Amino acid sequence: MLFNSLDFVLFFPAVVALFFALPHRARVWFLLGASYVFYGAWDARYLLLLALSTVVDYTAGLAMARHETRRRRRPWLLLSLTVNLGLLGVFKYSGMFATTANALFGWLSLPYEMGALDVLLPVGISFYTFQTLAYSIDVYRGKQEAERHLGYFALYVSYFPQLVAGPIERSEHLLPQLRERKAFDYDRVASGLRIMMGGFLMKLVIADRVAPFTHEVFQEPGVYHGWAVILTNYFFVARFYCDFAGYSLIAIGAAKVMGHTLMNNFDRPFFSTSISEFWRRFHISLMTWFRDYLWVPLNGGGRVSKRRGLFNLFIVFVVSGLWHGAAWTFVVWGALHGAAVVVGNLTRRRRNKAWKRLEDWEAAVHDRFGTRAREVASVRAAGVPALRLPLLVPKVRHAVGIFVTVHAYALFGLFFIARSMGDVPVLVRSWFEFDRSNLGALILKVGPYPLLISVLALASLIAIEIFQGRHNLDEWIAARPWPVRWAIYVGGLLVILLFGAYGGQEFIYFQF
Amino acid sequence: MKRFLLKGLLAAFVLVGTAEAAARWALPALFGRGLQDLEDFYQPEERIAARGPITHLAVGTSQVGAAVDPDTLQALLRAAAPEGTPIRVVNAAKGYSTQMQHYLGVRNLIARYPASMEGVVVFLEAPEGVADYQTPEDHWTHEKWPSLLGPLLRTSDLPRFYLQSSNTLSDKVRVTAAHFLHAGRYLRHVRNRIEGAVNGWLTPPRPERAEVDLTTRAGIRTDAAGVAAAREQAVREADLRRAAALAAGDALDWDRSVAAQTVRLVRAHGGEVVFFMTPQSPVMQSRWGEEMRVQRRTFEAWTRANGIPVLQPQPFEYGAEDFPDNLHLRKSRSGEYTARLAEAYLAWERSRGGGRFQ
Repeated sequence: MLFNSLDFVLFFPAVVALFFALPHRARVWFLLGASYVFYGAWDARYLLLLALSTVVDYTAGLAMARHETRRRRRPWLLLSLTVNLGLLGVFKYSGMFATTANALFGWLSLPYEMGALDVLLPVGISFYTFQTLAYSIDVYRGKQEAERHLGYFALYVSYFPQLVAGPIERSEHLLPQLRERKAFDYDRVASGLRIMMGGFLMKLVIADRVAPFTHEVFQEPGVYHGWAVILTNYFFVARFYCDFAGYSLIAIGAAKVMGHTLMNNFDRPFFSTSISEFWRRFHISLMTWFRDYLWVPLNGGGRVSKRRGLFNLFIVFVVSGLWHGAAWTFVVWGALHGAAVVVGNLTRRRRNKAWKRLEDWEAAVHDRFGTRAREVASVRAAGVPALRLPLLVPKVRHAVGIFVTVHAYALFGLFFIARSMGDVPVLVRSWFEFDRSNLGALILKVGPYPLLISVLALASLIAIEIFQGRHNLDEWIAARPWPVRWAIYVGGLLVILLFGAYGGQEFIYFQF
Repeated sequence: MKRFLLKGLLAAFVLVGTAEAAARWALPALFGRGLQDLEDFYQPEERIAARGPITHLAVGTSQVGAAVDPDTLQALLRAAAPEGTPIRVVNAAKGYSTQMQHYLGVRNLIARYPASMEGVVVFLEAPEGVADYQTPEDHWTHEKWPSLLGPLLRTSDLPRFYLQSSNTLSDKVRVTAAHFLHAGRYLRHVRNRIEGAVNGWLTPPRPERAEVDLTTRAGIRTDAAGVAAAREQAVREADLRRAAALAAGDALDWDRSVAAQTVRLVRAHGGEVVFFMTPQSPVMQSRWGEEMRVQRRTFEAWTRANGIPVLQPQPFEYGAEDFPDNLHLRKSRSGEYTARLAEAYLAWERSRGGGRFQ
């Protein structure tokens, strides 16, 4: 069931109403049933895999709880790893494995051919398997007590707001909330609905509006050139972000309505000043998962050299690329980000030094025109506020950081967009073919209307995110007088109804 | 929670009420009668029936709308009928309509204007000589335009629609909204109008191009985007038809079909139903397979057993070039096709004694 569907518009209020109407003890089973209905709406067969992952990790958790030592727990952890990673391997990576093996056989002139399994990728498998793995690993480490109530554990795995595209929740954060009695709270429900509205705006008015451009340009690389490809490349970035962040907001808002707090998955990532910072602010739940369950173990709890630590960081990004898609293009995409993080790390001291020198120079220039500084000081001493020229270098540094990060992300994204490695040089070449630029043809084909809506909506989003740098938007709206609040609600609803794109576009992250 | 529910209900009432008031009073003034006629299915036909008898009613998809020129048919039938015989031909075909919708539309006409519909002859399309096999347990709406059903339903039809049809729940809710609320029907048109206005403002005017040789009856689009969409839809329609035939298999009980319901309804009111073959583009024909031939055999047996004619407007040769959008017969040939249809119909009338054409 898609969030952006009439089915969900009917499903969600009914679930919320019944959730609050039911006694606390019944809620876990009701929500579990609702979550299975939600997930089964795609394909009821997927439920078997979800149930399998649930049962295996529930059993493994209980079994590990019976043993004190990690050595005795290890076989159960291995069982959990085998089953969950096995599911991913079979349903997500078997095709890639077969293709790669066949290419290798061909290169080595070996008379073998591996058949690929013809299986449909279950929606959200990459998310819920990681969520259950986190639980198993935490129980193994002794960080989390095994959940004994099957209902609560099954709900933790399948909780519908975050089941298919995250945020990937930790058991220590979500399980206790599922066990708590949640009363109806008007302000919390209103806040949850506001957050959901924000998510729908991002998804329907931005992501789905730019989708026709990305489909048109990238379904057949080489047809469009120059500014058409450049614009669409950035539209893809916007689409990817708004689609995923929009989904996360809807998930967070839906959970909040029912009284559950999910982790924030995005923190204004495109205001980051480095790729490192970007990945601390983009898909936070996934990257913290990789940090805690891959990078930390690789680093042996901090007992490795700095060089080794950076290499491990690079590996983490390569693996995260592979998580995003079963193709070598995603691996290269992850490797590029890993390389950028490593290079950034290695050059940080030098860069800081260079910028510090610039800042010192600017301060010296201010002082050189020192009368002014002394005048400012004396005027201030007299209690008169004086205009002080701001130092520009820190702001320039900040702006350059954002500029480089956004463009690096967009350029690396060509590997994400490409359907195969062969498409990449075509896409890169078409970026620079300004003499053949056919932006006008693209706009005429897709229509100027989606372009106008997309640009206006994106500009609004940037303004909102700048505002959110200093204020919490949800709290700000809540604090307005009711005519202003309701004008915002009605306005938001009208924008969604009149300007949203309704083609039932699936969320991008459903392919992961 | 009570406070939340009360506030929510009040807000919904105010918002929906305002939208509904705008849809009922402001939008028709803004968009004119054309919008209502497009969305309020069978409203134009009811206005005609209110003024006088409808003697011949063509129903079906937009392919019928393109092929059958009602003015030509009316003129030919009037010429063949004794002087003073009232002849009024109406083409109620509509793009993205279903047989069930036409059944309900004809039912409403008969119920509201029985005198005007007395003895009506209803022309039902039978592409390649066989009607689509649809039953009340199938979808009552086309996937592209579910709200079209809304104005045709009586409120008392809703339980049957929910329980009997195989439409999804969201379709049913959409149809229910379109039934009760004009805002539910017109929202997409408001969106389209906004988009059209903005595109018109942003896009430089293009040099005049030769018009596409297509009629605008039945909601057929003649703009470039509409023609392109119809080309895509032609493939989809043919596949949908084939898939439906596959699903139905060869155990087709035509007595249970919507077509049969329409025959019984019209005959009960002293009228008659005739099927007629509509010209099909090569794209539509290319999807015909064995399952369609099975459907044709059982259909022919059923029509023979029930004395229902299947008219073949001949001679009428046509090719791919006669379907500018791969779906609809070009406007310049609909007169010729309609003339052949009139001849076939009159021949059938004379074979059974003449009726109005004695």
